[in-house]
Amino acid sequence: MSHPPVVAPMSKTQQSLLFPSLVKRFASDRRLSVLEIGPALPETIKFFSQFKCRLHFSAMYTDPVLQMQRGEFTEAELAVHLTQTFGFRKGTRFDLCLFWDFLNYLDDKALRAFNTAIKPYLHKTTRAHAFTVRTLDTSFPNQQYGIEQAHMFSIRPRTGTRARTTPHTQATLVNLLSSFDIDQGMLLPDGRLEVLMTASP
Amino acid sequence: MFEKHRSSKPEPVSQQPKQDSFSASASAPASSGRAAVIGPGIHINGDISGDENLIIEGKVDGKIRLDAYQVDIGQSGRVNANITAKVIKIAGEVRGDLTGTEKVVISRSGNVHGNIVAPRMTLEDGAIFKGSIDMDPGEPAKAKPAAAAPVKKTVEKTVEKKATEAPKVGAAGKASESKGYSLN
Repeated sequence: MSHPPVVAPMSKTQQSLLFPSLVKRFASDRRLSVLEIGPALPETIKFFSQFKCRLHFSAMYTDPVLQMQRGEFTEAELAVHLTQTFGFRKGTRFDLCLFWDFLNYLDDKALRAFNTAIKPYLHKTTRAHAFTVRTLDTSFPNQQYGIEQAHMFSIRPRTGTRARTTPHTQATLVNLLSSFDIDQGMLLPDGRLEVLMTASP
Repeated sequence: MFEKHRSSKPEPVSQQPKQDSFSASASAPASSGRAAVIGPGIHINGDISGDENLIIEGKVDGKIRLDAYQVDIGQSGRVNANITAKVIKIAGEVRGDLTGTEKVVISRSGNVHGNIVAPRMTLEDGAIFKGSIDMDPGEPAKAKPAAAAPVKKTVEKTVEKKATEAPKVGAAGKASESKGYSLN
């Protein structure tokens, strides 16, 4: 007898109680700079089209770094690769980073490298959204996220070969991703932890 | 230089320039449907500019500048160039920065790697894009659409209510048990 999936694979949306508090900041007149670590999805573009902003889609889930971290590459080499892959314009400082569950696809070495690579593009009020776990036996469905509304994420099954996950508890996460502090968390029924973070560059 | 046609199905570009195509193009607005075509067997190295719409089914390396007109990159189109046009529609592959003074559309078969500046941007399901998008460039931030304000207000109200009472949120949007807490 098979157990029901933690998250229904055909689910289309996921409610968020935390994300609306980030959206409040979008009322600013100045241009927002947003990093989406995942792929560009129509609903995310549509959501942000109501704001004056620059959206940067990094599509990191398909980046070679997920395979490179299993090899002999050093942390410094991974950081260089990530910096080159990001290709952010000089002077870029993100106001909002959407990490989704990507950080759980990076092992400890790669996550430190990620921290090194992202740090120059943060300012002291940069906020971030991510999913982490409360306990290490929590599994992550192979899915990608978009934003339908401030309180509603879209969920789509991810195609292609899935990279191995390395879930991080919040304690581990704050140690490895030292450029951010966790401000607020919300435990989800499947054991994932939705967190909001503020940069501490 | 390019052979004209009214059909939506592109044909290979003529190898011999036709003088009359230039004179006719001057009165072809972006919405006229008239367009020059770079066929699938053509590879252009260099800059393209002009006063008519352009359909690319072949390969282009260089720059494309058709300020008041539309550029369509078909499914077989492979472009390695910065593009400036009124409307840019992409069903093929593009490596370069795109400036659409009216809009940029990436259709489901489109694959774009570059930076986009456009007041309106549409990405269809299945399209691949990596890079940045400047929304509403060069204009003061507009007030949020009237429809957006009540939604936000409702969300805030809901969050406050749920946070102070028994927060219930479920993956997949299904109401279920969860715990909310502050880490401050």
